[in-house]
Amino acid sequence: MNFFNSDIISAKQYSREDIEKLIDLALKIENDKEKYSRLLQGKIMAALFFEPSTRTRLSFESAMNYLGGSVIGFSSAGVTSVKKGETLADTIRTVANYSDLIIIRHNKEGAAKLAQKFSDVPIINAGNGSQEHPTQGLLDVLAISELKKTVDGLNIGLIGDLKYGRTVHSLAHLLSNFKVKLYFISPTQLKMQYRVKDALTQKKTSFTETTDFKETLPLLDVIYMTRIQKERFGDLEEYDKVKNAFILTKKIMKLVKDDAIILHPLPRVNEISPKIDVDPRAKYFEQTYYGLMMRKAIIASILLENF
Amino acid sequence: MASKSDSKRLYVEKIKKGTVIDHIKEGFAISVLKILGLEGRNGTLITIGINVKSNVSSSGHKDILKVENIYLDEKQIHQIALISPGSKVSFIEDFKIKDKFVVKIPSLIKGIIDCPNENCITNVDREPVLTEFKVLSEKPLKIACNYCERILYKEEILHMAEKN
Repeated sequence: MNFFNSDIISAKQYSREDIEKLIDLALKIENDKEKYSRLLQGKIMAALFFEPSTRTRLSFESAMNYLGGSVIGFSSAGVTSVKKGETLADTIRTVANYSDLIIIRHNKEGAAKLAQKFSDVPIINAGNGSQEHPTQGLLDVLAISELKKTVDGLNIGLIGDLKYGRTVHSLAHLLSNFKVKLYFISPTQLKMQYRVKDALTQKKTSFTETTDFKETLPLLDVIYMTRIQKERFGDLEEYDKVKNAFILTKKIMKLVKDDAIILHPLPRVNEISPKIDVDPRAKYFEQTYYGLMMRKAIIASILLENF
Repeated sequence: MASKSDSKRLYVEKIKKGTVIDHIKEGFAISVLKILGLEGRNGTLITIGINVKSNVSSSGHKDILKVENIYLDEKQIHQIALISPGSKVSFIEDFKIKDKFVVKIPSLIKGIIDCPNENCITNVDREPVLTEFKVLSEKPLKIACNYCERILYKEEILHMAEKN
């Protein structure tokens, strides 16, 4: 696909060729940062974060700044006219007049699609409810590809809240373009959404669902942890039963392959013990740097023709 | 003594002007009335036949509705299509059929039912968008919200259609 002036709404829009092209662009910029430091001079990116964010917002802003562009936006809906009752559609129509590109994070599912309808400039979905987070998925594939030197042939485990976790939805869609074996490890209440599994089946991607964390861990080359949120459980007794079943501790790390990598979209709460941070397999902080690299590639490829 | 053809027609009285919905899936006439928002309290003549014998239906039965002085709009026709595709709608004037057609599920269901996902952007007050669902399968009926991607099956579609 031609990225110029395109929107990013869902990870489903990407083919393997697209993903590889973005990875190449990310590496190209990374290998010659000085050369590209004025690439987007005169361009303005609007970052509209209706929901809290640390890494996504700051890495998008940082990426734009490193490429010589400018950033406007907000990091809380509370400081905007949304508080006065302005609709998302009206906010988007206004901001589209002030910028060349809009990044949007919103708590409602379908928000990015609505924004796309009302915007004259490209829209990038930076997370919408529990639906998707496609640029996180793209940076995750970049991290896997760089850290493991391949994506094909890997056993990749997505662990935790697979029902409401938007990052795992996007990542699963993107990985379905590669020859991988996916393991969905979660409590029964938080199993991977049917629509995602349906899409994987259509693409003939191999996946296994299990609740057995310890038994599956030794098989995995990539361990992608996510947070199990207490508020997702109607019955707190159910939460208490599973809250400690999907935690990486130093002891459990003994089950993990020596050359496996541990990733996490962050923020983490208690699912990865801080004691593991020094383990060479823990790559979640390096992963945040791949976020910056991938977002530079994404922004540049959308704002510049033939980049 | 009533003739054979009379005995077939006795169930439902002819109307002078209005809409006849025939070949409704058996047991769904009440749902159709709910969709149309008709309760009969304003004096409108509504005749209902439920589980009427049918030579066409595979089950051998059908429902039929005749509503005087009311013509269905496009949205209502599409709503009926969602719960009973294949129903036949006739618009009547002076006891004669003015227009007649079979209702079909549209490929894009736009603004006909709400999305059941409370967290879908289409359920936010005053956002200027109509709901949109694409049909994933007609038999069994399976549709998906174009915004939040929630998948709806027959029972939920019926529930949402009645709610509108």
